[in-house]
Amino acid sequence: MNFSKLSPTARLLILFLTLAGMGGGAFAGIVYFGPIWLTTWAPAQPIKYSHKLHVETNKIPCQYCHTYARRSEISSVPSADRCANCHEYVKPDAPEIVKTMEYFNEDRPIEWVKVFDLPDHVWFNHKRHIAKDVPCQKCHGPVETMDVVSRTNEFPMGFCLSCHQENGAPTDCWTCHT
Amino acid sequence: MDRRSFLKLSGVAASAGAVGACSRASQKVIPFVETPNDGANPVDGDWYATTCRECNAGCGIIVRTVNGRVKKIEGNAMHPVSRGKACARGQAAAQTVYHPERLTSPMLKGAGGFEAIGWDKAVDILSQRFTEAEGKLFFLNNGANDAASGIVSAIFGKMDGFVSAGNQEPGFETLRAGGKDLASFPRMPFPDLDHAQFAILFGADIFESGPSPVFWGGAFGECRRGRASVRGRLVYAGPRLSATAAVCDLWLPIPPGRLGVLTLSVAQVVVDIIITRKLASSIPRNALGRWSNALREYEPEKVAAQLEMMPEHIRKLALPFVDESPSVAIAGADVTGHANGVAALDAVEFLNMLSYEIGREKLRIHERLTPEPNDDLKRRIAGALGVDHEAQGFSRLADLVGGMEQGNFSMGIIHHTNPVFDTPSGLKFKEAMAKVGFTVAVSNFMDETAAEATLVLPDHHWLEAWSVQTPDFVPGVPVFNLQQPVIRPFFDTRSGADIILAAATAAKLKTPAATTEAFVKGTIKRFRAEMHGAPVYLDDNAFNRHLLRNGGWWPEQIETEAAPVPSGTVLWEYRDKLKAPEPEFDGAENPFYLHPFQTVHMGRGQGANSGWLQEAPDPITTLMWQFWVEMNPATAAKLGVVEGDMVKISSAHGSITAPVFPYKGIRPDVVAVPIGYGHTNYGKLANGRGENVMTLLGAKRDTVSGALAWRSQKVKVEKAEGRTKMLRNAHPEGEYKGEVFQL
Repeated sequence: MNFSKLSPTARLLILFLTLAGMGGGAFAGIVYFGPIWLTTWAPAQPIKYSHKLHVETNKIPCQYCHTYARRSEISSVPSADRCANCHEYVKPDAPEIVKTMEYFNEDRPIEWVKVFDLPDHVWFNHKRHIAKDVPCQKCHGPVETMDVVSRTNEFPMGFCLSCHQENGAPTDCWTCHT
Repeated sequence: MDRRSFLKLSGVAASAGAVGACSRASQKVIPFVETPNDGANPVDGDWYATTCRECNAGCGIIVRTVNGRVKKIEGNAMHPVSRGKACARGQAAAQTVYHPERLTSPMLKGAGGFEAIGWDKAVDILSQRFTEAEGKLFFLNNGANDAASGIVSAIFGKMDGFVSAGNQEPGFETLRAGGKDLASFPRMPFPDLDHAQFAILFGADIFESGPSPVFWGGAFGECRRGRASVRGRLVYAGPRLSATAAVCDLWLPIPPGRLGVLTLSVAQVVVDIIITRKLASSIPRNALGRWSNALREYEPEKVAAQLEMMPEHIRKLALPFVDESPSVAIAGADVTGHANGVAALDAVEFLNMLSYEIGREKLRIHERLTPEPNDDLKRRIAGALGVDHEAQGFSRLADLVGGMEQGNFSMGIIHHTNPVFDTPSGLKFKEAMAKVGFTVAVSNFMDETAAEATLVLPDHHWLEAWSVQTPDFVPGVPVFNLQQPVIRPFFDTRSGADIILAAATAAKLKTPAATTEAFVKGTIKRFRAEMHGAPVYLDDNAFNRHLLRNGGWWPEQIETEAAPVPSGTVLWEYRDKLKAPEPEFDGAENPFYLHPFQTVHMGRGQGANSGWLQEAPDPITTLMWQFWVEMNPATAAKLGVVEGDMVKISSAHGSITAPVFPYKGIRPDVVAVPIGYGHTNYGKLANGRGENVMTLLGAKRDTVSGALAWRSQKVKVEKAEGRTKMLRNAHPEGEYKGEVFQL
């Protein structure tokens, strides 16, 4: 197709479509990767749970609730029965706890919004890192000081690699990209 | 595409991508409300022991569940049937739990077809029907010995007019009936392949069909590689080189229905060898002489022509039977599939007796001839589960159909079986079903039989349900299999047995327990005292947990002591049985023998709606997702067809068309068609995939046992219109198609 033979309207239309396509692509990119780039990603959660209150003030260890961190690939978000264990007795009248117990009593799971995430092509194993005594804060930041958990780390590959190099952990591609 | 449309499209795609990507930002983490089990591991998962119910073999299995979802099925290494193995069909059950076509609501047939009703209404309707039926009802299952049949027998068993029947795999009835005169209890022959050095398989496709392919697979492994210095040798005799025959050392293409003749001919040579070599045996000399005379008409020279073999080849088969002792003879589908099946089975039994007499090492091949130490317990466990061996046969099924036609029943319960599809068209089950006022189908899926029923009750998948089951064929071992729910039910289904119990309670009938779980636990309690080896010090709850952890109970040691053999004088009474009658065929004027066969994937058609099983290549043809007819290349050439050409196969009962698969491992006068294809109402993966070979069969039966003689049909084959591409995974003769290594 000869571009110069086209009418001005057609040329304008093509220009517009090109720009629209590029703009759309950029918009998609921002929406898709936005949460990763915006390191202050701190979504509202269905329950206003405070890590600061539980961990810093009341000295409850991370793995009291995230029980599978030392046992499996994932750290796991606790089941509602774990909240109920204590809160049947501890401050049962606080509004957020009433809400939590409602979920529990109605047999409805609490749908937490994911804060930390890795792309699907990365394989991470909590159990191994805990076995090597890597503190949770190394990756997740000072969660114990937060009332609302925010993403303090975007986990670029360099972040993983630098730590692996410092500690003599394997740096083969297939260590993570299995 | 021109530039303009390219740009247009890229703009649209980008916007669409942007919209689709919005969900990325709000990924949810949804934990359990309650942790499913203390110590449950969300990644590695938990393993639960239960029993596979895809067929009635009763394999003990272990199931890996992660976060309350079934992920993987393996064999239970401690179990005497599965010995740590599981077949393709068992493993594919992990997929059927999640099948999108599973029934999720009870349905009642009205004027405008099925209509979903609630569970309460379903129980109401059922209980009202129970009251009205006053015992004039039938229960038909797949021949399983389980909690459901136990519960139904306990509720209705004593009522006049109640009939219980099993739509079992064809052939089992004949296997039980063979040697019945000498057996104290009609049960499956189970020759000890594990410890045999030489085995002749008389049409026994034991690794792909029959009582338990998994058990036989394990036995084959032991026979071939289980001993340091012995490699067991197997010979297969039968018209088609099946997947079982393919792993044997030699294949003898015997004409259909003549295996009894071959057996007796081998027996004749063996008797002569015992006499001439003066081998030690408990049979009196004169009895041996009389046998030799009685079998004279089966001398190799006299029968070689009808077996299409050379006499010396028959002698070559008999020699290792003596020299490579211990040896066994195993009968299978090509024996039981003919009208002379029982006679041929008697001959196979006789050969096994001779093997026992001359064996240097005693095998457990005589388990049918004398009572076993555990016989009584086995029988009582089976009795508690409503098992009546007569009820599992084709004769009872045929009688049931007769009763249905005469209007003897006002209602019927059809439990996990599909007789409209998998019984021969000559039985006319569908027509008879229409004459029963009210039929209930308990099933996981809509199938051809459920579609004809009045009320359809979606059952739990067996991985979600309680039951207890006992396989009836394992020699010397009473097996008490437990089936427990390994996950919470995936859909709003109910246990079929629970619904029957609820309806019976509402109808004020006497029930054995309130729920299936209670029935299972009650049965454990009933037999607990006799479960030798199980811990006696536990209380009932702890004992239940102990059994559930193991998957059930069976003696730790299989009794290996050989049973005493009847003396020669007793065996002499057997002589009149040693005959091999001429096989009879339906449609004898037709040129080809029809050889329907079961594959390990499809079973009798239950596997057809599973993607995993359709995708798995057939072991012989390597075909996937496809139906076929096997014929010898010479036959194909005579008909003028090549691979993929359609042919029409017809008998007096019906006709089917199928694409040709030329295969050297089949006699030229035989055409082989797999069973289980050609569903019309079994979901989108199964429907219209091939045609149903059972429509070609009349209901010809064994002259003695009354079992379905499903291979006694002759058919016409002619070229038809059309052609199909065959989806082969590889060449059945191997990568080099037999060319490179041909000598």
